[in-house]
Amino acid sequence: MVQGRISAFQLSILMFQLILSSSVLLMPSISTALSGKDMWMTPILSSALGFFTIWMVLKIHEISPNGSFLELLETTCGRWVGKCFSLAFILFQIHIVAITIRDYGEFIVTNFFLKTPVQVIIGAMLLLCAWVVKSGIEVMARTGQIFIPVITLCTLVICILLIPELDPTEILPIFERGAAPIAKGTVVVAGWFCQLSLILFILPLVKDVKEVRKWGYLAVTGIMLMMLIANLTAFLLMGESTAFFNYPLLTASRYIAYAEFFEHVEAVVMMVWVLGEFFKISFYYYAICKGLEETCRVSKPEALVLPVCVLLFTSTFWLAKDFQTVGDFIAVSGTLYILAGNLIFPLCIFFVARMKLRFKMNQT
Amino acid sequence: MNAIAFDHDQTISPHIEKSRVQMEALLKDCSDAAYLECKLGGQVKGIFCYFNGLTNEERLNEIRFEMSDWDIGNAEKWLESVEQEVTSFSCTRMESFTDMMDQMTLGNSILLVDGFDFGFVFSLSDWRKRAIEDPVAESVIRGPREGFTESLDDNMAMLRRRIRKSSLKMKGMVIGDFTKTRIVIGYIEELAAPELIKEIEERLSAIKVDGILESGNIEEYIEDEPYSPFPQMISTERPDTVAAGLLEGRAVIFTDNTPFALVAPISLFSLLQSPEDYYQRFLISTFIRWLRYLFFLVALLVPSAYVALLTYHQEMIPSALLLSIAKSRESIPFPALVEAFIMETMFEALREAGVRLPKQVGAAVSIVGALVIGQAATSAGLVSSPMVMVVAITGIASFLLPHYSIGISIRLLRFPIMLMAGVLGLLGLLLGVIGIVIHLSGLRSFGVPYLSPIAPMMVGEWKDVVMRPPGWVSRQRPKFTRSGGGFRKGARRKNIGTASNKE
Repeated sequence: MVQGRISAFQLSILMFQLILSSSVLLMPSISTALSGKDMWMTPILSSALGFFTIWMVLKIHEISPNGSFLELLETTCGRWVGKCFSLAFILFQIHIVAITIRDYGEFIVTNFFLKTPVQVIIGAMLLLCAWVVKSGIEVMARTGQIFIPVITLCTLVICILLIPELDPTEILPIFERGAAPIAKGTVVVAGWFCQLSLILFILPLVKDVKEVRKWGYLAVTGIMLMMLIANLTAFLLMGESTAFFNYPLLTASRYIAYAEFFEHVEAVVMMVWVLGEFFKISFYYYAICKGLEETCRVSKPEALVLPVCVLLFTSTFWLAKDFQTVGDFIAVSGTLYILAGNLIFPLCIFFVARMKLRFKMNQT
Repeated sequence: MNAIAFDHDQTISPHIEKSRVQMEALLKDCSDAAYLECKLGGQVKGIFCYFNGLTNEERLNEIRFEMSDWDIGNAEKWLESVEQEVTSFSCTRMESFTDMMDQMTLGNSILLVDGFDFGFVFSLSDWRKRAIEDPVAESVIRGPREGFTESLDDNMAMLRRRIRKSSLKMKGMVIGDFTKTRIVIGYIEELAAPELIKEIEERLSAIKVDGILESGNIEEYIEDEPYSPFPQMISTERPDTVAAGLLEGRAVIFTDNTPFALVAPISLFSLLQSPEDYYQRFLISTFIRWLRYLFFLVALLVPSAYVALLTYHQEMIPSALLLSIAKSRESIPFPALVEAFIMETMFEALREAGVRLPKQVGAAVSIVGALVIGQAATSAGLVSSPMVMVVAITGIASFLLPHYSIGISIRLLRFPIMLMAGVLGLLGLLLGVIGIVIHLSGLRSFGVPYLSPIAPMMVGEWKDVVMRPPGWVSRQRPKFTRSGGGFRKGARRKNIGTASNKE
């Protein structure tokens, strides 16, 4: 891991992709299942949680020694308890990214490479991620600056090409079943937004932390807009049956056919998915390496990259016997699990640390 | 043993015969060394010594005759007369044999005189040089037609003719224990960042080798990442390319005995720009730049995309096209990947052969090659005609890039990507591309990120990447210059059209 530093703008680009990469394809189906015709509102409502996450992360960053969350854990909870908490937090992130990696592999295998073993697909991706993690956060950010505009553009182009097929009356009537279904969907989407707290690991590497607030809020806005576009496109095209497809945008892209030549653009969807997941996995991967480096005081962080790669690879398959189990987990308790780990845990630590600080100040 | 002893005994004896013996021992078995005896003022014995073919012998003879006419009494007086009268050529004193030997290898002539314990060096170097010609590897339609030659001095002169200012600096150094090659770092003092020049000097002075024969030898030693397939310096034989680089705050490294100069730092996008872009109308140049970017991708990806589509994603090819491809592939015994590999390797072999073959046979080979690769192979059912087309397109595309060095990197990278596309289809292709971009993102050329100004993003410099803006629009200098992106001088273009209309 080469130690480099990135700008707030570069961080915001990575944040943007961190959330969007898996959500654009998966979310329309899940939010339709939960919120029905009002699914398009869920990204707007849950983006509030995204803004809150950014705010919280920056607050934590302010009171952290050296700006590092893991060091804050050690100063608030004592050295060893703090280290245990750090390891637990990192393990939690490993679990989340293992789900993401599995998700990526299953998508490719079920839709494009039916006969290729999923281990090959995942292994190839992880090796590439290991490379970028080894090259450092700066290189990752630059790679992001090249690819993320391409990903966004491709997603938008797919949505634009589908415009003739869309039926705006699908979303009517609004509030058909009241607020409860909307709230359910919002919580699930919030499970994506709260993953932004991962930047706790990266913030010490940002050159201009003061700018993070502005760019972070812009990133959340951008994520919200892209989610809205993806949700609306899928729902206006397929209506409530969106819920029956695992990857509604992939199904939607099959509707694109122009001039009897420009058709079957699923490859573009695959490109969007693979590139997006590449950034999501590498971001998590880097954060995990960075976390381990700080917790265990590793003097040569490069040495961590390959072991973590193996760990991620194996934990992808330890995770569950088959993808169905993963799906059930996500649908039932996954959201709460993610929210607890990414939002409630840092928030608790933040309050404890604040109280401790205030207590100390009162004493002196 | 004797010869070695003389190496250490560098003092020059006042006895001419003794010096001559020393001299001959040093130049033992150097059949190109020439000795020319003379009588200075008709009395004092002297010996001129030089290498055949490096010294202007005509001038030397003139000097010799001139000297024999001098009326000299004693040594001191003669020395005075040398210093006063000899103005028609430059003459310096040298105290040791080693210094004199160095001067001789540069083509100067040395003179030993009886009664003096030092020698004289006459700057008479003059040897046959190639005339200034059209740069062969980088031809343009519009633009200067002169290219660098093997002579360092001529090359520097060509650059000085373009930048007539004393702030164009040319720092010299000598590298190579045996070749003692002259290297010159050129830059414009106001524009180039001092750290850049310091860095180049440090890297150059760290080179310890026996010989430097071409700028490629140096390039290898001073590159940031020698294991990268991508060139991190532009090697060019065009003085205008170098001058344009210097005006953007870059530095140039000249090497003696080669027409290729190195320009650094660069980014990937400067390798995709031709000097001609700035001489043509900006709309046309912009169009050509886009064409180049497109064909950059074509050269890299089209064979792999073809392999991936044919092997894994047939459903993505429109049915009519798929049918015609299938028809032509009906009798082909190889899978698409093998076919692509055979054809691409064949093309590379033909290209290399075309470079090496003497001109007289070249035409014959290209005709045979075209027949072998195209017509015969297709009709024999060994390769399909769509594959021939793909190979031809990529071949042409890689030559569309204005710098040979980037074209060849792309052609090399095509093979691993093709292999990945053959193994994992479009996913493999994509992973390959991601890999290349990771590598490029980490690459630097003398500290300047290789993908700048796209990543890291410098929006102000995008103009010169996405299009070729008219001169008065691109007034901002690149970020890495001394002024850190300061403005070029010069007012906006006057409204010429309206002014003349008013009259």
